[in-house]
Amino acid sequence: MKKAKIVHSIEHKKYLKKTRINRALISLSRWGILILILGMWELSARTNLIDPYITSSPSRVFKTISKWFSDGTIWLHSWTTLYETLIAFAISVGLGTIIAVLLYLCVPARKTFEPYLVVLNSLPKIALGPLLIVWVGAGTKAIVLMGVLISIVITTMTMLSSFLSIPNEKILLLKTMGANKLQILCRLVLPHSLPDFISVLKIDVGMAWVGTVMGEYLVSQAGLGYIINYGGLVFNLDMVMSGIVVLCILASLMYFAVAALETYVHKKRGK
Amino acid sequence: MKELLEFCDVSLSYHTKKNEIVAIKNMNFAVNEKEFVSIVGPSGCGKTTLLSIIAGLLKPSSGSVFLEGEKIKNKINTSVGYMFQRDNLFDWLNVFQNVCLGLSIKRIKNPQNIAKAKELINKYGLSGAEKLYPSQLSGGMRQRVALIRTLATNPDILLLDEPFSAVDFQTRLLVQDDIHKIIKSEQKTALLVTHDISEAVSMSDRVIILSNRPAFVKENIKLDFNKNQTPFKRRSDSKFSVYFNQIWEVLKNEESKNSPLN
Repeated sequence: MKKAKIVHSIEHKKYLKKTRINRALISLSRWGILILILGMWELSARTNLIDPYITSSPSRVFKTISKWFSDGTIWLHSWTTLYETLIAFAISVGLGTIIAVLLYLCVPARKTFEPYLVVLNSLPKIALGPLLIVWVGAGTKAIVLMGVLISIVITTMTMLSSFLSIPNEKILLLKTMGANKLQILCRLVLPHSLPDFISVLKIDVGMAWVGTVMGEYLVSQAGLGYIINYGGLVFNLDMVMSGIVVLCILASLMYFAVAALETYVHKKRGK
Repeated sequence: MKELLEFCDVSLSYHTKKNEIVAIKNMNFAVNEKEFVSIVGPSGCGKTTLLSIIAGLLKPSSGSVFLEGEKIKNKINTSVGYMFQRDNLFDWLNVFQNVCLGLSIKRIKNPQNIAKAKELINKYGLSGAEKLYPSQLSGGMRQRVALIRTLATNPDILLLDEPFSAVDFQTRLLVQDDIHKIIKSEQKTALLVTHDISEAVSMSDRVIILSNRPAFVKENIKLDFNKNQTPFKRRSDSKFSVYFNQIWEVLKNEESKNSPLN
């Protein structure tokens, strides 16, 4: 099935050129919009069209972040939040998937816990905040727990529905080969659900950040959520905006790491 | 010829919340060694159920099934090779790994069996494709890989559950020739379930027609074609339409009993 090397026709060359131009245009527009927004923001703040005391401005954000870098607070706050997020992320992905596997293997348990999962999923987890503080204390534990609570239910539900979507014929195929439950799990169920698992990772990146930042709003002495919350309280909007920017950067980095993992998995599967 | 598979008075009922459905009643037939037998019947008459019983996925309510003279017990029967409607290749395994799936599951992936799998791969035109993934193969190639995966564990009998129904018509004609050739040259016994009369006539040595539910053997038609004819060549043989009509007459009667118009 090897293809001979094709000499492109003029029409095909035109087509290739057109797709290249389209791609360049899109990437230009992406950067253009960012620059436009930042430029207008800065300009209207400088000309006092908007009040920079309330809206801050790109140059003020830049100044604030550079100050954080020079006095080192940036490391303390971003590390605190990143650390909490990573732990919450790891626990909810790991534990959530294990629970999903157990529920998949044990049908009566799955049927029993189904309504509980639905209720837990629809419950706004932030409502549990005060309980967490009373139970585990106002500290890192409560923040991490908040992150876990927010992402674990969706992890379990997504993975479980992924397991249940496996075509029955494939399971029967393994059964006719004499496979036991463990072999079906390891050879079929888990590898089959790997793409969905990566989607769950992507969802959980977002969820874990939401959870920890929310946790930091409730209880914390450090962290990006703390800075943002504190900045709002003392009406220092430069602080709030800068905190959001750093948060954006960290969350995107984590997301891109997962996206890179996805590309790697796809490549390994010959897609 | 030696009898390989035998159904003795087999009956099977399904239980649902509302009622009990008798799917198969007093089924009796036998398949000889190296024979290619097709089973046709009105839709929903329990053709797939038959295969599930042979594979040990379902337990008959009464009666017994013998494979090589031994009664099939209430457990999975791993001496059969089951092919489904879809190829069911695993996307995350390459061709070679897919072919060796049965060997790994049965924990018989020894050098001898691996060599045999490689031999099958080379013999049936998949050499060079071992490292490819299923998404890189055509529909016909995928079906061939699925057959070789089934053959790799050296089953006593192949159970084919409409394995050609998921591919388009042109591919189906090619795959039928292909699979027929491989099964004959490996001297395997095969039991094909299909709703396609022309497929049954073009591929098999014998056609068993089932009745409407509850299913029993309505008729047993031996096909007399030249041994060297491919399934495709058979389609232009004058006997082809005779057999086709003969089977259709029986099936038409059975289907009409099923019809809501009566």
